[in-house]
Amino acid sequence: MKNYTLLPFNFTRLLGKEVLVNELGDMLITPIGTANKIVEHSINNEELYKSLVANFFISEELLPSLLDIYASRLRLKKSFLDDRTALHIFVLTLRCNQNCIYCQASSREEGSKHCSMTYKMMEQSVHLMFRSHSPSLTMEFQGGEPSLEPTLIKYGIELAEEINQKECRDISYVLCTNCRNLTDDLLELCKRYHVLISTSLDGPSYIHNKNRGREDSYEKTIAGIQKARMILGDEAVSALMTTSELALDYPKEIVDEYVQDGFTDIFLRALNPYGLASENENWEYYNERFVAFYKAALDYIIYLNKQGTFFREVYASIILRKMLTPYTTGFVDLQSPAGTVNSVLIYNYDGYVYASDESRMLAENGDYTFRLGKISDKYEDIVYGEKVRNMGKIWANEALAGCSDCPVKAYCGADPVRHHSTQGDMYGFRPSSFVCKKNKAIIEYLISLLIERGDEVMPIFRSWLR
Amino acid sequence: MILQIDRNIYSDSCISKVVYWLSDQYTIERRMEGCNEILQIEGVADEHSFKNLFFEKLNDFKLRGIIENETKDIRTILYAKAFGDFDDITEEVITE
Amino acid sequence: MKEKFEIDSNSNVLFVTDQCNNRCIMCCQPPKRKDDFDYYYKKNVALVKSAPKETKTVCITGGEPTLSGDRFIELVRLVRNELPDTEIQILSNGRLFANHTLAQLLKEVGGEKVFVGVPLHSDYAGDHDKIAGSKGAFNETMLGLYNLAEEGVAVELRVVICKMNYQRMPQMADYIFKNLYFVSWVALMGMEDTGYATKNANHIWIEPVDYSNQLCKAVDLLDGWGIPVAIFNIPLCLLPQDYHHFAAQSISDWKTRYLDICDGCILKDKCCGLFSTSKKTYQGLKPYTPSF
Repeated sequence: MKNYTLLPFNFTRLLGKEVLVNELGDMLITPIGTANKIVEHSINNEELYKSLVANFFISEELLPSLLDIYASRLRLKKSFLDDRTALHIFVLTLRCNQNCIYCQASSREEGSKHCSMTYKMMEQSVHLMFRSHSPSLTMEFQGGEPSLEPTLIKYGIELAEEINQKECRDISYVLCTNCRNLTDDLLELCKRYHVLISTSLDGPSYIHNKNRGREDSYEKTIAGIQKARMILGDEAVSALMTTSELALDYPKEIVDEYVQDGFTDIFLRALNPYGLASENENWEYYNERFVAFYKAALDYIIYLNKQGTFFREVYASIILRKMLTPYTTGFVDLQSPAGTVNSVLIYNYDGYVYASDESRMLAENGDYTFRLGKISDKYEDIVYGEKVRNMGKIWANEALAGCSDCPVKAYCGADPVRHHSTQGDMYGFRPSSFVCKKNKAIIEYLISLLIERGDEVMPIFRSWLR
Repeated sequence: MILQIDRNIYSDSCISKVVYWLSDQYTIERRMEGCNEILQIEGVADEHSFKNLFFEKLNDFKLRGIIENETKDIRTILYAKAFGDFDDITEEVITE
Repeated sequence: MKEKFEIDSNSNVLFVTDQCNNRCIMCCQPPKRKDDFDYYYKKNVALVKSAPKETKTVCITGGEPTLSGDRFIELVRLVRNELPDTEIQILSNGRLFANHTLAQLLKEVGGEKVFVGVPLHSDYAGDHDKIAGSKGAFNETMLGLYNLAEEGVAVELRVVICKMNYQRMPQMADYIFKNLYFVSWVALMGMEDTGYATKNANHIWIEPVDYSNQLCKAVDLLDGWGIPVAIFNIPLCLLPQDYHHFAAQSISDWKTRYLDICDGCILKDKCCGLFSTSKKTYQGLKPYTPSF
């Protein structure tokens, strides 16, 4: 073995192995003590040595000839930044026709009049959306229940289409709906403009209905999914679930429900501590149970894949994409620099622009920390204003205490909004952060699967990421 | 519980990081005595396990510190190479 | 060498030079030092000008064609002008493309439908350099590949399997996916036993049956990641049946041969056969009969 210099890397220990992670998030699973041997120049395994050089952990030259390539790969990892804000969420109204126990949106009664966006706000918001330089834009309609404002949706899409004649961006539309109100007219609109439907399906009826506060919710959701699929095609309909306390006991049943209903993806999401959901007191207990639920559900999903059913877990896929591929990811909650503003902006029914989905939920509780400006303000004042600049100082986990020397930093992200809302401090205090605990537990679990069951799970994971 | 740590072996930064990670569960007071740092920790149930845990973390951070020290220059060059020309884009946007 | 190109041939060769800046340990066409750029350039111009316009592919090779400097670029320009729809395949070790200007020029004169086939011997620079017989080869080749990719020139990787690199085939596959994710496809190739390969047989010869395991793992990895992969120069009887669909008819028509026992093989038409130029014949060859 030749003389070598170190390149930046970190390490952790799991299941009797030492996991080395370099600056890109490339990972090597090695025997315990390898990090120390590298530093002491006492590596005695030639194949391990070659892998360390090939994977940018050590360099045989003082200034690596391939540093430009390393830099190019680093740029690719962060290339989600190049596009600037691609996801634009339009919260049309707080009105809703359901009463979900964990509503993050603090929804109001269906009949109330004062909680919707005006046409003027929609017009200004669409213009703001196009001020982002991103070559691809996603216009996502949320609420309350956005399908209660079909004319506003129509107006918004048609205005965007008109402006896009000149702008020529790659624009896509998403309607987040509970499917109770998918009228023929609305679906016709969706068909014309290739609007994707994103709905909530929490699991089998006994879970879904309990969560949604109405007895026919499951029925209506399934009927809506089928109707939407028939008119728009299977690929146009996707579903998310939120793991309520009841759901925690039924990982297998929830996955089975999704498979039965013809879905090929599931996103196992934990509860957010916002809106009505924050009445749940014991977050520590919930968090522990959620991690156990997640592992059980993921194990079952892997089992299904082995039996020949292609079925992907979305959250794992995002982390695995960071771990196993050279590519960037665009999921707002797991990014550094943070997804707020960089990847997403919210145009709210109250006439204001917010830094993220969770930012506007804080506002419903009287906390306007992440309200960036009025929809009628100038783009530059909103996006380069003081609030964003302050966030900019603390939104990269490479520069946060607890994160900067965390071995799995590359697979995680910064979440100033969540830390502000749960700890009262955007910067965040990692030791007691539930976001940190949850993310770390899931990331380490995925790494353990690679260590213990690598041959079994790698082909499955690859099929999820192609 | 009292822990004595030789500051010639473990730097302030190293010790601070371990203290950071334990500070949500324990109250820790630090003071210097000569070249040793003395930590007074409240609320420790099992002193033996705590000491093992503490030194395991301390050794890991020390090793990370060595790696960081040896690689900080190359890391700076790497980031400069990777993101150096981003400045052009920012300027162009702000002058609009 | 051909006198005139044929429309459907896979061996319309523009031989640029016998010189090379590598000394690959398995080179089947050992380089010479004579200054032959002018000599071949004249021949090549004539070949290009007399070629039918419907010629599907033309292959620019050597030695190392980029060594001829300006003449390399001029040749590509000529081919593109005379044969606008023809695919230009360039076999190069990629090292001179470490100079970004050369990559830019190639894109400029070649336009679309230019593919550069570049050999890679290992994920570890030390092993690659040893096999390529030149220190610094790996770094220059990698930089060259990146420059070509940046200019939008399609790149194919060619990995010749020998005793010195077969064990790291899976690691190489992973390396290619992480660091060379932009390649159009990868060819994993059996050796041609001629030239230096014969001379160095002690260091490099290995039977395909002995590396089949690592080869298949590498194929699984690349295919699993969605990178098109093909197996070259290995007869079907030496590959597990599940991998037959990766095998290509890879040996140039003029140097393919089959054994007598191949006449009874039901897969003979699909199989690439053997190199007529190879001194050794592989162990384990047998025909697939209907009862197989």
